[in-house]
Amino acid sequence: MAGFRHISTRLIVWTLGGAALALFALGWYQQWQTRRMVLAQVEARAATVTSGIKEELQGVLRVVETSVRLTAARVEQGRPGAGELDTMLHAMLATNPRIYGSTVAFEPFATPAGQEHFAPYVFQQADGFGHADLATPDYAYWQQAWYREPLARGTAVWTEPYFDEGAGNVHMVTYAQPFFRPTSAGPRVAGVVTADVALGWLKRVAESNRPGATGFVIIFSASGRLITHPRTQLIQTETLESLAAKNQQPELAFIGREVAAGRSGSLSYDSKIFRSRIRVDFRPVNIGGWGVIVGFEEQEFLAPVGAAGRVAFGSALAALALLGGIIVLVSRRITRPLQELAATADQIAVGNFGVVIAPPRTRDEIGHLSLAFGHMRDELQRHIAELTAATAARQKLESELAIAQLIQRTMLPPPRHTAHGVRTAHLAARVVPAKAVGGDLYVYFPLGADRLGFAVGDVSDKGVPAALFMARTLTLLRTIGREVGEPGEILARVNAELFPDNDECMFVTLFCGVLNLSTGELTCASAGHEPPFVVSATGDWEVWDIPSGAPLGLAAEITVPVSRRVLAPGEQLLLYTDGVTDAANPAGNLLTADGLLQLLRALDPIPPELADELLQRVQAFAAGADQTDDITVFTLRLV
Amino acid sequence: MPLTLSTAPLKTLGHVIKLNGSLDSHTFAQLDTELQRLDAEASSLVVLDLAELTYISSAGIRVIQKGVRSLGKHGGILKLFNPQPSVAKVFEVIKVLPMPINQMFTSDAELDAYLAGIQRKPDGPGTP
Repeated sequence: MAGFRHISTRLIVWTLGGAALALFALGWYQQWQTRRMVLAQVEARAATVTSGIKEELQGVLRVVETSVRLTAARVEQGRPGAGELDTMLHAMLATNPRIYGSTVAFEPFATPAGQEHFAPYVFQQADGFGHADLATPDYAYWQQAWYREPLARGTAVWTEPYFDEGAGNVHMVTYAQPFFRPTSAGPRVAGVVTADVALGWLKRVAESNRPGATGFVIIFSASGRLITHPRTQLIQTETLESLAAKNQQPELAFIGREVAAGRSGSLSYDSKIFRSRIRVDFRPVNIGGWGVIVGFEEQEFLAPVGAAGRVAFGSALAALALLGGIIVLVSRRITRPLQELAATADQIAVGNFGVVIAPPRTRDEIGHLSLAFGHMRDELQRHIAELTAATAARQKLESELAIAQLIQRTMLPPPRHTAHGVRTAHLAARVVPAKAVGGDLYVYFPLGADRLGFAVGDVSDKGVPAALFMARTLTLLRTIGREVGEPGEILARVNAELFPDNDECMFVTLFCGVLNLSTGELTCASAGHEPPFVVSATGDWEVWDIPSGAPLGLAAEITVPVSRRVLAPGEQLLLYTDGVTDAANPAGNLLTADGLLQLLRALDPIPPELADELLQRVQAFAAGADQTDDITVFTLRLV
Repeated sequence: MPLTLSTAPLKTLGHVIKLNGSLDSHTFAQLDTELQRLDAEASSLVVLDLAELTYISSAGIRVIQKGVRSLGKHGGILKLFNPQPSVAKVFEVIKVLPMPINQMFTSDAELDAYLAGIQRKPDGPGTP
């Protein structure tokens, strides 16, 4: 989350995000549960209503059935005449106001008066009862369904609803029960007793039982034909099957089949007729094959739930906004000290150590940080002060060493010297210390008119101790050399001076020689020093491997063997210190004495400035690797 | 190249310091410190086992010679043991150092006899 530039942003995003997620999840769950509960309650109410309507219908229809059955029994047993029949029918209608009209219709020639057809019909009128005989050629009751069906089935039937044009111009259904007369061949059907029930009252039942404003009640017949429906134009004209087919609403056909099978149930579906999601409860009436559907639009009952949910959502948003405000305030309180510390850090970074660090306001992590920060500032300040002091001390030491280097350089004689006698000798020397000051040395001094003394030395170790010991050796060589004039004796005397009180066991290897400028005779002594090289005028190199004595400074008395040779004109003597043979290249390989000899033999012709040239070659071999020891090259050429 | 030292008692009389690596101007102080410690303990014999010493510079020579001298002040002896040829050659040039021995003492009696022999010689250690 590198995108957050403020801690408060991060806190708000994570805390509010989490809280919002939790709140909305909870809200959604509550909403869902409430909807479920509300729907279950309304559904239970619908079931109660359905059941009530069913009971009411059953009550009414049973009474009708009973009245018809009683009348049929009386017609069977009593063989009433026309007047008697009229009385019976009046009584039935009077005791049962739900019955619109009733008739006793006889089979041909089974009539009381012996005529072919007879069907006295009594029906309710606004001012009493009306009378009619249905045995007219126009109506021909013996051809009507209500008459033929019960005869054919031999049992009582409820007809399908129909619109009665002749009798009352109302929708009605008829209950028709056949009655029998005994004959020699057993009971024989003699006619039908009917009761017509107008359906207008069902509409009132349906209206008065609707659950809620959008509730509706549908009553349908055995064939699924609609007896009541809130869309009145559908009554009688449509069946559940035809509605299902027209509206692609298979749920209606399903309800019809379920009720026909005697099953009740409930269903929720998107109604195309009501253009809404509806929930219905359906059950069979058990009489006449009728069924009842009670339904309602879910939205009517869910709307308040949704409204409550919106209120809860608004409250949650308000709570989140409040929480966000609190987080901003708290995080600002937390981060303000951090910002102050950051500003302080910037001040310290530019060296302003005097910057004031506010004392911690709290004892929490921020407070700790503040204290630690102050501590760090103090430590840093102290450390920098120490570093500054150390740097100053080192600079002082370095400048002292630089001065020491200059002084040491002036202690050595000039690097070139020409001594004139019968012959002329050219001396050249180069010294390169490994550190500022070193322990290598060379010196030369005239001995009378025709002799030249010289020495090359290497004090053990290097640096300041070696330089001090070198200075002492150099001074001793200068004074004793001129005084004694003989190499072996010079070295023995210098040793005798160096040895006492030399507890640190510093020592110096020295090569000391005396050249006779008249004869070219060279007298030499070596106190543990590297043997010199001699190159002839024709460029042939050789190692002059003279016997050597112990280095100076380690033993109280020493004797150094002396060697002699004559240096011919053009011959050259080359002396060096072990810094040359111990020069290492970056791979860590040393030049060695053999390597040095090869390097010298490669010089053809012998350059006039041999010391300079050799030094360059050695430095080329080292190729930039650290110089570990002082290097000295010294040449003596006789012409 | 670094130097590692390991000191072990030699019989009842002395110590053996095994040197491994290079004894030069960077490392001599290690041996110097160790020799001063043994000197302070008044060790009567210190043998430097040089079998693993590959290089010695003048600073190394100096510190050995310093050890010879400081031990000698109270009758102690420093001996060099079994140097490699390149190191032995340096000792030959220097001459003043004690000549290396080629056999380690295997018993106190042998050591006693050796020390007695050295003390009888008029020149003693430190002289070629």
